[in-house]
Amino acid sequence: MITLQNLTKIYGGVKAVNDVSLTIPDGELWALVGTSGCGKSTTLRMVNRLIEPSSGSIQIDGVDVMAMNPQALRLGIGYVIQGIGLFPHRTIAENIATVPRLLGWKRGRIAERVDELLHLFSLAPGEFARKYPHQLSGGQQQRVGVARALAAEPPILLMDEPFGALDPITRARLQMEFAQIQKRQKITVIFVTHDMDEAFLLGDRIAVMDKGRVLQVETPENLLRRPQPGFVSDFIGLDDRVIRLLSLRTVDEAVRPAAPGRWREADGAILDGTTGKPVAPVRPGDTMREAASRIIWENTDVLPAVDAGGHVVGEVLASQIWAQGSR
Amino acid sequence: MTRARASSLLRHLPLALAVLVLVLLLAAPQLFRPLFATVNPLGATAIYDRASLWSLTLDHLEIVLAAGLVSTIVAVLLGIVVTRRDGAEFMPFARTLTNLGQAFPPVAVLAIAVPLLGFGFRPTFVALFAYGLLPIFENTVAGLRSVPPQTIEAARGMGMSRGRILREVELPLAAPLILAGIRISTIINFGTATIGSTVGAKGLGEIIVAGLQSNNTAYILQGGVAVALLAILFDRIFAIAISRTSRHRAVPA
Repeated sequence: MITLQNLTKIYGGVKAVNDVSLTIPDGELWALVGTSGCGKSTTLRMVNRLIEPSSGSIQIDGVDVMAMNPQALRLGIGYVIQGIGLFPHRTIAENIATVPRLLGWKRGRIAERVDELLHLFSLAPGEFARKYPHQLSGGQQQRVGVARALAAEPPILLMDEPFGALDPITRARLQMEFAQIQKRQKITVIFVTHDMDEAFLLGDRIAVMDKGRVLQVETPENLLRRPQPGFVSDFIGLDDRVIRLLSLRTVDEAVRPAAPGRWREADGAILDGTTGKPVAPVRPGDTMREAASRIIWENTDVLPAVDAGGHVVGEVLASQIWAQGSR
Repeated sequence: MTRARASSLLRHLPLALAVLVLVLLLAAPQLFRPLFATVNPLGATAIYDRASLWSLTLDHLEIVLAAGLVSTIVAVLLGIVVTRRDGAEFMPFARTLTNLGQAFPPVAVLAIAVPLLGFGFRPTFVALFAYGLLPIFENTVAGLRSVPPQTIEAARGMGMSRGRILREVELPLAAPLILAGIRISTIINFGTATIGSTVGAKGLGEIIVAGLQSNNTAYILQGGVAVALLAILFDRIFAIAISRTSRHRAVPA
């Protein structure tokens, strides 16, 4: 658990971070969002003491970080930045091994861990371990950056716009990969971003900051349904909040049994039982947003639902999806 | 033979030639008698025989490398100090010191140093040391400043101490530029060291000075060629060291 209490940082008379208090439970990912200069990065960097607070306190599992040796503190906290900061003169394997080496792990254990992480981030060890950072694409470098931060299995990870410099497709893939790893390994994450889509996708909670203050802390759904008027509402952008609400849920919970003969399976395709026309079904894990766009495209009010094997298990009504997106 | 191998052979050709000619010149100067005889005045000896070329070369190497080593230690340390947050205030001092060392003519340094240190090795050593500081210092500063700030930020964030960041991140990344500075300094000092012979330091300058005194162009040429070959030899050695330390570097985006 990370507790920030009345955290303040003053630069030349200006409060870059102003009286911020947050309590982040173990295993959750909290997104700090806001415009450039709102104090989100400064807040993040006070947690591992790259910046020293002017006042207030930070505790990790009840221990005041100001009482800890800064280097020892940082060895226990993973850190990923937008510029990645891989060591250009070290191989990928050596980069990932940095913190375990600083911690004095045995060589065999380090090699095993490096191998494991390369696999986890879909980088074939045979191909990548001995390469140098400049031989990798931006997406691959960013994967290595995250792998390096996770090398010594830190319980806490601080991430400062880690996927900001990537193209949209690579970014989306890395976000999904990272979300799975984070949930599976129950890592507590503070994630700084100015990309609301990213915050809604990854955040268990979202803290909106402006001019050094935290204005609102909410789950993605509550933030969309009940944003504070003013900066928070403007920053989130209420025009497409329905789309974002639909993105938060999957269709699985909306699947209901269909009447016998309503849908037919033929050669792997699903046919409408009444008209005989083929229709694209929803699959497990599809978001309601995806279902909604298909419903609108097909100009229908119901879609068949299939299981992972492609067999019809029921149907999803447009009205159920619309209900999710309304107030 | 592949094109790559041919080009790599071509690259090492100057080094191989310099070594070959230098070894022949030092081991068997008589071989070159007909060549030097074409430029020497009638009746004078074409090959310097008052001391062995081989021992003069070793003396020359000794003084240049000794002064270079000390210049390197001092200039790199100064460069490290002035690029630390707490050492930035020493920058004007360090710049003045190293610039002065370069701007003050080595001949003048010798003139001042001889009354204090006597003749021979010591005043020459001081002159070369002072003359060699500037390129190493400036390149060390440029090298350390060229390290990407995110790389240092990441190293700090992962829990590396300042000393470790300097040793494991900053110096290795600055190494190619620092070596380039040492290269320039050393090459220049191979030539500059010849003036040491005017104050009695042993070295290849002795042949040139003898040639000047006796109006023997063959001597001057002989000393000059030997010094030039040494300079080429070390230039190639540094080139190899620099490419070794920079082969992992990303091409700046």
